[in-house]
Amino acid sequence: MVARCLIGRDPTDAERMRYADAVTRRAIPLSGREARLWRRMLAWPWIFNAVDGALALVRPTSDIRQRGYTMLAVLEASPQHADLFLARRRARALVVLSVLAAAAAGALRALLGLLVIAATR
Amino acid sequence: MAAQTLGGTGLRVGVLDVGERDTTYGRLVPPGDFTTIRTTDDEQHAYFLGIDYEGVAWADNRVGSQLTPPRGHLVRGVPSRIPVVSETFFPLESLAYGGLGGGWGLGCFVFSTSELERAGLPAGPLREAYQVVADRIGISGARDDAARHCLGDLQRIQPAPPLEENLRGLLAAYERRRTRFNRQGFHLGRSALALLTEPKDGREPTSGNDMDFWSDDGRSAYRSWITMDALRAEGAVEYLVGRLVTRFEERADSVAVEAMRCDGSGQEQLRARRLVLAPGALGTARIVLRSFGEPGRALPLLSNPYTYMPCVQPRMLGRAIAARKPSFSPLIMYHEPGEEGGEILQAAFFSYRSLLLFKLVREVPLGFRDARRIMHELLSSFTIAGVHHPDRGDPSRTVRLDPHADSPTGDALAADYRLSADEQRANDGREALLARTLRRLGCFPLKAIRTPHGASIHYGGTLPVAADGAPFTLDGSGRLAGTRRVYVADGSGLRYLPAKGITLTLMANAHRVAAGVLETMRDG
Repeated sequence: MVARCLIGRDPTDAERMRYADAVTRRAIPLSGREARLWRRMLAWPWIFNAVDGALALVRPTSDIRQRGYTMLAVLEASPQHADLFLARRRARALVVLSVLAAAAAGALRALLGLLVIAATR
Repeated sequence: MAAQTLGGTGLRVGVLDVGERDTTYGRLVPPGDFTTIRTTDDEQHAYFLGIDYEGVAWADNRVGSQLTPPRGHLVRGVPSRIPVVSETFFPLESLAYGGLGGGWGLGCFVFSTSELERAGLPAGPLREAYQVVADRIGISGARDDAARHCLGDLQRIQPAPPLEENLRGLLAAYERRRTRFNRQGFHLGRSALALLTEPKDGREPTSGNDMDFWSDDGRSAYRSWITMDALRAEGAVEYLVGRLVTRFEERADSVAVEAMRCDGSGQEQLRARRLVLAPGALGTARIVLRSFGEPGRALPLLSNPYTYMPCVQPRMLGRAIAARKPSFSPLIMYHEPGEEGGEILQAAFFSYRSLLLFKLVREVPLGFRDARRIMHELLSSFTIAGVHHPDRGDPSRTVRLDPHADSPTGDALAADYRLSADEQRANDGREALLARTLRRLGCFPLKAIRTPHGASIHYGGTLPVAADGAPFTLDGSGRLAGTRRVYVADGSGLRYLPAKGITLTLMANAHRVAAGVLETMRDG
């Protein structure tokens, strides 16, 4: 689910196992409020990126972010998703529109995420 | 480099070294270029992320951020064996076979005559030494507007590798208005790199596979272990691995050198007619402070502050990145202030690809989904400018040894490093000047990331060269004051660090000091 939220694709079985292995080896436990927040993110995928966006603003070094970062690294170090991480030829106008759209979407998600974080005690 | 000068001369030369090596990744990284590997190798996670995912570090650890898992051995054992305690200084040291030379950025820069004099180094002998080193390691570059501070008068230089598209636009923008930029003191040109573009001594020219942060395939990049391998193969030196030198004691006709065996089997003492210390300025400081029985004495410390500026070049938006390009910084810019004694400004330019996108994504203050989209779109237009600032020294910047119960030597290096308000202002001014100039070149800085002090991995000045023979100084030959047989061949003696890479100068000085030691041996 984390992979789908981050890149819109399901991970392979190998990637799933690598992520679990990495979380264990890098010792990324969650406790207290972060654990509750993480459970909500997994239960309601539609808020996952919103909470991640909000945390990027208010708690960028949180353990939840570290888990997302770890999954992102696992997904990048795989030939299956190389197209999402290697530079590609695109019309300049499309690049600009894409960047602006992502920035706008990111900002809106972050606002929503702030509400979710505030509601999670 | 000192070992190469001393070895094979008929003298018995021993090299004591901890000698950590990569025993894992060398066999995992396949040949081939970065793009092909990324799109085909199912096992790439092993070396790109690390067996223990050490390449996915989360702590804000920008010092040594370019150390990939295959280079992780460069810092193995350092925190436990040679700890540093500081809230203001975060150095990167190495106990690896060949030291930090196993991971340096290959940039080669000659010091000007005034820079050498300020640093306490003799200009004439250093010029000769630069050529000796260049002939040994192989340097490529171009005789262009940056050559004065890179190549200087060096001869037998190989051609520079092809310039990648990301930086070709920058150079073209400069060349269109060269006269104006030069009038304002700015010069842009090709870096001099210790990177072969022609075969040399069994080493291959660079293939431009952009895997240089992960592998030394072909040995086209000069790494210090290449020299050590050759010396050992020739029988020119005796290499004693697994030894951490802790102190020395000079006797009537020899120097007793104490080393701790890293396998836990205790201490060892060796005797030599001469001792040449070259573990780096910080390592030499530890050994000398212990040896003179003054661990708490504060020694001066020099280190270049370092800032990097991620930038975007709109002209490169939407372009693909060529499959083959070098990983190292191919372009360098200088600003010469024009007034006597003014400090030059140097900026090295890199494109970004082979250190992986996820590390850039975390720098964006958005959720990972949207940040990845943005950085993916911007990747081909991304340029990084790395800026060193000079260090003339200040009494507030020091190192000393403090007791440390958990350390195998019973001590730790305590360091303090702070910039004065004036120094910070001057650095800010240089960065602002650079940012303005970059914008005129069509390269727009997004922010300035001031790395923690020590992140430049340039250290010096702990035993400054002095003519008066004062304690904890070196004389002009590199001999340690108060001794007859102990020499220092690393950056300890430098009284000044200009705003440029120092590795070539350190290597040249090491050769010079060693050549001088050789003369004393011949003189008896």
